[in-house]
Amino acid sequence: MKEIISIKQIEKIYNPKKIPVHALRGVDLSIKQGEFTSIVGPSGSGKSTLLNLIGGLDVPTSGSVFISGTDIAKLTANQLIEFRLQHIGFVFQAYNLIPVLTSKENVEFIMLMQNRNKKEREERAISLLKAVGLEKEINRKPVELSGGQQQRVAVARALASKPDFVLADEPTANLDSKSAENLLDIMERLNKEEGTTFIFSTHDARVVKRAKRVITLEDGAVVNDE
Amino acid sequence: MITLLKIAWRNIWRNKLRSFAVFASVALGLWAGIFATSLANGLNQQRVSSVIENQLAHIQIHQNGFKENFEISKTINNIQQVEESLQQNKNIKAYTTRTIVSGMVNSASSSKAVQIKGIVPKNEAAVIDLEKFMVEGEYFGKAGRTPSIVLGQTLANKLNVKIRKKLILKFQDANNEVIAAAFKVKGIYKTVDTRADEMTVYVEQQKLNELLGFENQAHEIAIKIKDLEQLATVTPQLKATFPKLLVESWKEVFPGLDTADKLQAQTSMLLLYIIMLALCFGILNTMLMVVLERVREFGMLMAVGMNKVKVFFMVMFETVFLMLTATPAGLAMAWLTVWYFSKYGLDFSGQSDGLGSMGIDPIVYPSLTYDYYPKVILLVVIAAILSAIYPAIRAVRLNPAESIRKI
Repeated sequence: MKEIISIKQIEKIYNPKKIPVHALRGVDLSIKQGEFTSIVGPSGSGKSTLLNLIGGLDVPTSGSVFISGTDIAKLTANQLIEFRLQHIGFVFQAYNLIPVLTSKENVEFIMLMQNRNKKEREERAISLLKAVGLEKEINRKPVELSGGQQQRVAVARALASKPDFVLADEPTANLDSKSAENLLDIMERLNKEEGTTFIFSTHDARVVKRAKRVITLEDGAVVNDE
Repeated sequence: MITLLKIAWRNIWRNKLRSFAVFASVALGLWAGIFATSLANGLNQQRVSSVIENQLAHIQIHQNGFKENFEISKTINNIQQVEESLQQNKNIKAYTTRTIVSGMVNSASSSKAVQIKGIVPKNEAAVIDLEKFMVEGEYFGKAGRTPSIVLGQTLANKLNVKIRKKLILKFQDANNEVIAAAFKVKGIYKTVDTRADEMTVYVEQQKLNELLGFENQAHEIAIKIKDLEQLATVTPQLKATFPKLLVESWKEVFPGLDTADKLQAQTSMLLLYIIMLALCFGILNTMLMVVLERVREFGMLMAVGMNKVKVFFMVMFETVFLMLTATPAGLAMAWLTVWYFSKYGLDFSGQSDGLGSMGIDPIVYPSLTYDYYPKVILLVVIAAILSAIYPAIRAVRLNPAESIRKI
């Protein structure tokens, strides 16, 4: 399988000039297309920092992060935004949908920023919402949906841009068991059937149980990768 | 862009109470600014109109040097030729000649310094319609044995005279000889300008000229033109026709009036700018709250790939929509108020003495031209843009990684 993320000897130090905090210490990591990977670890282990670096939301203090062959440390802020738009799908813990747009419009929104034509946007948005079981909710706004439904819209939105991988930060943290299982079923199916790469940061044992690969972090270093 | 506009439009309805509070402040601010402007405008227009229509006329002609110390001998040269030329000018609606001397008016109980204007009543009426201001007696009419005098009510009260009472006018002729003559009060008028009413008396020009030893002479020609908008064209034309005479438009005769007119226009705009500035700070505060409340949302938008320019414009559009939505209500309220009071007037009778001394009628009719409204709309848009800049900058400066985790 093609390697889509290659991390070499990255260090991330916050506040380097005053009271330096070493969030990551020499992490090496490689993630291939089609993986269903969980990054786990206690609070303060560096999960969020690693996820930010993989997601192009932050740059390392040293080392390199290659995503789809691009060294993101060399991109400007605007190039990073464009890079994220084209290559990375995001699912956030708190759903973070645009409250004034309907489910369909939320999914379309990413494609609109990619300047895709209206027909393609509409067809893909409806097809993705069907894929996450929300064909009846396409014209509902987030406030009219349950937490589980909102997170499924977020998954559809993340996939809308045809990203190289989907980064999900604690996607089940705010969901009840049934909704969480349902969401994981959908993501697992998309991984198996469509070959979509998912990378989770999680504390949730249900997510860990389903992951094909689990990377454990402690004190900013990878202590287990199986 | 359309989606950005759509999101911005929907966003302003997310917190209806806050949006309505903003709408109300914008609408009331506009209403107050526009109405105050129209009121000041109306006051000034009435004052200018009162002075032009009741005293100055549109254009005046004098012999050069006359106005410096009102020398009696400085009458207009070749007045017949001047009059013939004026009669042929198609831009001129009417004109009248005046003989002017300074003197004293004496009644049995009092005396006052006045300007005595010798007029041709019929010609004068075509330029200055004094007849409509008569409160007692008549505007000259048939002369008796004693010549007639028409004076203002304020002066009549101070001299303690009534209709048919006699007054003595004293003044010097061209040879510095003091002349005294008796006149009978024929009419008492009251214009809105109580100060002018107190200082001017009108007699028939023929009689005054006789007393002064003049033959078909006058110090002043007051002209009314057909279209006041043409003042800037007609005045230079007459100046060229009569190069040896002093030809002045009302703006030159009474520059203070024109300056006050311009100053008033600037003050009105300044008032609107101040109101807009106050609104700007209100809107800025609201939009800052909006940005701070939606840190996570802006963070998410930038995380998923919305560039900073789009985020900036989203906040901008939202602010412009917020203000523009309230603008029609403010404009409509202002238009209705101006329309109503311009028709029925606003009664300031309680201040009539003060207003009268400035030549202003106590019933004020607010006035505003339609070209003022687009200026206000433009001002609103500029105010919205200015007040949105800082909140928009705050939004684009957010760090997406930190923002999406904010509670």
